Amino acid sequence: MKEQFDKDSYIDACQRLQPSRKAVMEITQREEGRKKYSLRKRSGFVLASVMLSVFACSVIGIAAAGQIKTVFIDPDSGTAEERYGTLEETEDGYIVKFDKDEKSTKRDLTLEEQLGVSVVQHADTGEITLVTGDTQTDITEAMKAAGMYETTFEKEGKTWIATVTGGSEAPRVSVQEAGKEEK
Amino acid sequence: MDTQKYTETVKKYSSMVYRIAFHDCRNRADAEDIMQNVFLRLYRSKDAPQEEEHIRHWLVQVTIRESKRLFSRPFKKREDLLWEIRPSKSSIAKWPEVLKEERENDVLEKVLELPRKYRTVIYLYYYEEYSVKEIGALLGKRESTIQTQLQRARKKLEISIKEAGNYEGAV
Repeated sequence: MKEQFDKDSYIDACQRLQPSRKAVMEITQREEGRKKYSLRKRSGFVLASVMLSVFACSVIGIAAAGQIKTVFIDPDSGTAEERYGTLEETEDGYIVKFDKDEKSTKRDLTLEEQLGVSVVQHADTGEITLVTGDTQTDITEAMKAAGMYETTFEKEGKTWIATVTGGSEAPRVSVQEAGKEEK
Repeated sequence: MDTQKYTETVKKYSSMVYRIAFHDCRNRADAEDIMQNVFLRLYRSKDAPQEEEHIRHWLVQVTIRESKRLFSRPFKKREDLLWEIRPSKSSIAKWPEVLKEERENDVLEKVLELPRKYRTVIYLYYYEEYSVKEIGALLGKRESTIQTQLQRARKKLEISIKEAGNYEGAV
């Protein structure tokens, strides 16, 4: 290897750094209001801190300045554990630190958690995303315009209705099986 | 921006946006996420520039901002980096190409091992051929700061390359 920075080699290597065709196609064929980004990746900085855990986890929200509530979901036992951590920025990104003395709360999974349904509001952009299993839908415009959003999805051989209410200020999601709606 | 112009812009600049993002987050999935966010903003923005050179500047700035926002999974990066820039096994038969590619990947790897604040500067300077002054304007930093960062980055690269050479020599 040369003992100096080899600019030409660097440029040639950079030229091979290309996004996948699929990712570029998703952008060019995008329809307004639909964006197929990965929520998991967006919240990855939080997930990173708990990857050693056997639980899946989801971030519920920032409870106070620097405090972040995280829910560890254990689908095998059907329980969820809620813990508060401190969000800290490092040179490489963000980490969530948990105090070992901090009390946690255990509870049963809600129907929404069992089905992998959640609504996420991004504090920085104000975007609201509905997550139904592997599908993420940007519902920001719908929430601003109508104050609610409703969609159906298939899971475990059944059709479910996900309803987001609370407007764009405090969105929350509830799920019920299609055909068994409250009258 | 009309659909045709938008599509042309994506085709022309998606690689640049992706590379800037990759230099920051060092993994493919996050870089593609960032790229999608940037072009979504372009698509939605009513104030996005129309002139070619302004679009390029705008995309660089938004990509850097998006990268800062979506930076993730720090301890996963090293693993992703090695996996992504190494040549595939199917290309092993092409020995000269593989050796050249390995050498180039080594250089890229050294750049990607630099502290985060140096990586984008190196990329913008060497690959996009922005001047120090232009990089300063893009990143909202003084020209002297960029100059210092470039010098320090080069120094670090030199040390890193020398160390790698010593290691290879010892094996």
